[in-house]
Amino acid sequence: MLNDINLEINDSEFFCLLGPSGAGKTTLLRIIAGVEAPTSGEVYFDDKLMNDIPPKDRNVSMMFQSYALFPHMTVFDNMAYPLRKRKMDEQEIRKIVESIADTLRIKHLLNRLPKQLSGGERQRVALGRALVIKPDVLLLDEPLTNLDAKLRVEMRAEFKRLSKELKTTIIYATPDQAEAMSVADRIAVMNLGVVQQVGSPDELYYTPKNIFVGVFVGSPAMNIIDCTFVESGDEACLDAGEFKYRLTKSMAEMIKDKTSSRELILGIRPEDITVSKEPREGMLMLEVFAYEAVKPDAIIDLKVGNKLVKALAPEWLVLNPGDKVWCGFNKFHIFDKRTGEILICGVKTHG
Amino acid sequence: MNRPNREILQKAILYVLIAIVLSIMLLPIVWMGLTAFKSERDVLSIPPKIVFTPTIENFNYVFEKSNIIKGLVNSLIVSIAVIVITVPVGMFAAYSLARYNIGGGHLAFYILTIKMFPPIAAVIPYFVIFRNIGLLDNVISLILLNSLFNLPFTTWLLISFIREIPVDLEEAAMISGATRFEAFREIILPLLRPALAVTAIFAGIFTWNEFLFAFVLSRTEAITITRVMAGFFTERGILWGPLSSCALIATAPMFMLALATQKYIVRGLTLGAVK
Repeated sequence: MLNDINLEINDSEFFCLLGPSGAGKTTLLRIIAGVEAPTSGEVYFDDKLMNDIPPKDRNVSMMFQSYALFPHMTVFDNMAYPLRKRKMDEQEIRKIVESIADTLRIKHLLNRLPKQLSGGERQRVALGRALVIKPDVLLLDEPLTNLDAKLRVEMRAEFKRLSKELKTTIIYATPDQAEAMSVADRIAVMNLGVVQQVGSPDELYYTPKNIFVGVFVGSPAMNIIDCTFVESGDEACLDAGEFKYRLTKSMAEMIKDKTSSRELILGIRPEDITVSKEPREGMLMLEVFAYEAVKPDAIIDLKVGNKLVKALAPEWLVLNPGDKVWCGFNKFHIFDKRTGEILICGVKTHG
Repeated sequence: MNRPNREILQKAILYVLIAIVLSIMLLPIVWMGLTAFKSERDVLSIPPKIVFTPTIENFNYVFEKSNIIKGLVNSLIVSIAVIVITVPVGMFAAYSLARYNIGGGHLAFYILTIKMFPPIAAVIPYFVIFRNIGLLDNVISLILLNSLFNLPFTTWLLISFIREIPVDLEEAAMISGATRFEAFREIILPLLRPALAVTAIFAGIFTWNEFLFAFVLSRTEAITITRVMAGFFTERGILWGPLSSCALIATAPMFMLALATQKYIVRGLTLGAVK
């Protein structure tokens, strides 16, 4: 269920709703489409109130995750359906459907039934049906989820290209953060019916507003390290058990300003941890727990107390479990553990 | 025992078991079929005769002495009328229950409980009601009652079928510009056709076989085929021969209908079994 959503989406924008299952993405899309009514609140297209307007009069198109192709109609009839509902002339309809089928490379399938098509073909028919009427808003509900990985990556580029051609506003729901980050102009990260943060991909990556966004965006995920804010006299530091990080006075002030809690979270992305086999001054010595030989950057699991922290290492650095390495934290964020909110973003260090 | 032999043995045992069960189930029907063609003496002979000279004297008796034509016609009228009433009404009810969940589950449950109601408890009150409004011995009263008791069944069967159709389809249609009714007519209805056929067949067969109401509420005008068959239980004793011929004639149409639509019927019976 959705909770207090306030979103403003710009004209011709490629806007993504990003979140795990149950976040409320599909519900939000359905409310915009008009097939579900919000219990409270309004939906506006430009300045027009849409709450009481039925879906058929909203000039939106929706592509469903299940494709929702009419099984008893041919591909042509499926795509022609919205146009026929608008009482267009059959000649016109034929022209439009064939042109879009051509663009999507499904022209040769026009006389087939949905059950005779492959997953990728069905997906393109569903997209075609959504595009025939040149909608004001194009709603896409996890359109790539049912495709195999390779096709998914191909179609991502297709969508990006299409969106530049079409100039319609596109609202795209997906649980895949890589997908959202690669196609969207702006993204609304959602969880459990609440919008966590809205921003461009860069904003979400570099300045997450809370732990959820920090962890959800970026792969491998941001590491979460519990620590305590400790003050003794003039000195303040973050005590994470295994190591301590000394805070500057201004940082300490910032933290105390924003929260009275002393339980904090240190969030550091794997790509912001430097790993070296040579001992270095001021760096933290950690033991390697596992080494995932992924290319191009290997993922190293490091033991910090009884937790694991992931770091990236270039391919020439080969490690084995049990090896000792010296790590530096280049950049991290400080979050309030209780509320999850960001306290200080992007603390840059030299180890 | 090696593998191939054991498999053959298992298959053989299976077939024997099936044969036994089938024989038990088909025995009355076969007996009926044979008896229809036996002369009065052969019918009652012990041990029962399998080889005998067939005769059509029973059929003659049935057509002369009983009202079989009227019975068949009335049964047909009532069955068709019940189908015409219960299937469309059931369909619309099922659609609103399946899609909108009208009444929040309570209404659906209420409809189900009608089905649980023992008809025999309703017979006397209905007899009095129909007598008071002068509808006794009138096919209309049979049509009404059978419709009432078949409606929960058709509704529930159609709810299951409609639930099989994803809601996405109607929503896609509505977003494409259809009204809810158009979505129903152009998307749901074509997909529902086999389901409607199955439901109609079941409702038809139930009504055709219905005995209690037909017996209590008819005298001479509204008699159905079931009532006619009951007429062969006389004070002189049960007229097995004519009874069997009549039964043969009565079951023939349903039998052929079921044969022609068995594919649909199996689907209807196994619905919901694999989910």
